Amino acid sequence: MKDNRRLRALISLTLGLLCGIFVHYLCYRLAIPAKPFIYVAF
Amino acid sequence: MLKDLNWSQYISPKLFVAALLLGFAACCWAGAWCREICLMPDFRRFNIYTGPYSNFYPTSGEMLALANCKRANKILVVVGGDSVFNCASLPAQELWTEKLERALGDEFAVLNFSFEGEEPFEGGYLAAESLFKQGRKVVFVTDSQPGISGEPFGYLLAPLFFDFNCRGLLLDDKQREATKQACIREQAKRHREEFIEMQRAGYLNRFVNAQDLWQAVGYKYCFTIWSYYTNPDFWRPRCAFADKAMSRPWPQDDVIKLELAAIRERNQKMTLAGARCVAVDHAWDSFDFRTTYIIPQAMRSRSIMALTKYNPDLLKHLSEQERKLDQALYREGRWHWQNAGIKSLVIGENYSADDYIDANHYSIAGSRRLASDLAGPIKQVAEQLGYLP
Repeated sequence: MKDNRRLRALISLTLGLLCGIFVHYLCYRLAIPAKPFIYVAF
Repeated sequence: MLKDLNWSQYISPKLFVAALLLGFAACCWAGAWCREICLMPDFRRFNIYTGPYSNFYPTSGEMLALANCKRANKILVVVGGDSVFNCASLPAQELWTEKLERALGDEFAVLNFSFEGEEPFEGGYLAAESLFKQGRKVVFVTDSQPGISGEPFGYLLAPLFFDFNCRGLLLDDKQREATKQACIREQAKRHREEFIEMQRAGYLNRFVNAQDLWQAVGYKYCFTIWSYYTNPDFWRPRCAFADKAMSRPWPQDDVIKLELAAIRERNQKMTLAGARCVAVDHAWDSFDFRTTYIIPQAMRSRSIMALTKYNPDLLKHLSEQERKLDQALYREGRWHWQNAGIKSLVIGENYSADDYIDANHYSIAGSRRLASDLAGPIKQVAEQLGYLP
């Protein structure tokens, strides 16, 4: 029972950390311009 | 089947959310830490593998860290501009800015922040303005062609403007800010959405430092975005790619034709075959107006604009009248920059074909001449600013 609880905590922590890192990586990827040459016309 | 799975048996929601927030916060902190470290201690110039062409967008943090590697009491000469100042056609060890640093002496440190295709006042310029705001002694040098002032927020490196701007690293300039706001408000303007998107990305990055962390990972360990120039090894860290000269075909008939067409188009637009008329006046008025919101007043006295001339081997294909027009245009372009309060000079008036490697990029001999031609004016500006005793 105790082992199960530990395993549950370990899985939750690992998955949570990985998801947190992935969300941060998404912030990077989404902020990169889709087209490299962005022409701001006036 | 997944529906029947009892997730709570394997995952604790509270722990999962706590770990997610912790992981995200740790990445934000790591990004902030990356801003402080100099990733490229042997930096000479940005190249194809450390530039936007291969999806590598240098951040404000990286550029300022590179500048802060230099001793605080040195006068920083920040070089912007395009492939002409990037010496893209020469190997990095022949870079003209290293010759310039030697010519200037111990009181100066030169940083080459030019990029292939960079506008005169983007990229490197932003770093110079930010360093000036920090209280460093700065002289900014850039290159262009007559009548070209660039876009207000950049072209190739527009996201970098928002990186600097959203972090409050640039001088407060009401006119530039008003132009930016006008651009966002105007519905009919082209690329309004991209503009807003870049601003959002700039503000987001200010808090999460995602660009700073993942560019650093990409430079040091593993790059995650495919690009044409790094294919098929796109995943390799960018530090593993050697900076190499990008050779251009020269002299080839089709290249000569293209370059001549570009010169003729520019001359036509700004002189209309030498006649002064409403269209020409309008082109120069528009140029003068742009300079007022691209470069804040405080930066003008510490900026030098070099108008670089083309290879005489190319110009000999122009007619006598076209050559005279070209010369007149350089004189006029110089006058307009000087009138805006920016020291300007024409580079290459007496250069020979041996000083060029192609239509407008300098050879080793030419880069030596360029360094010696610019050392004097830079010292003069430094003296005028009271940087030198």
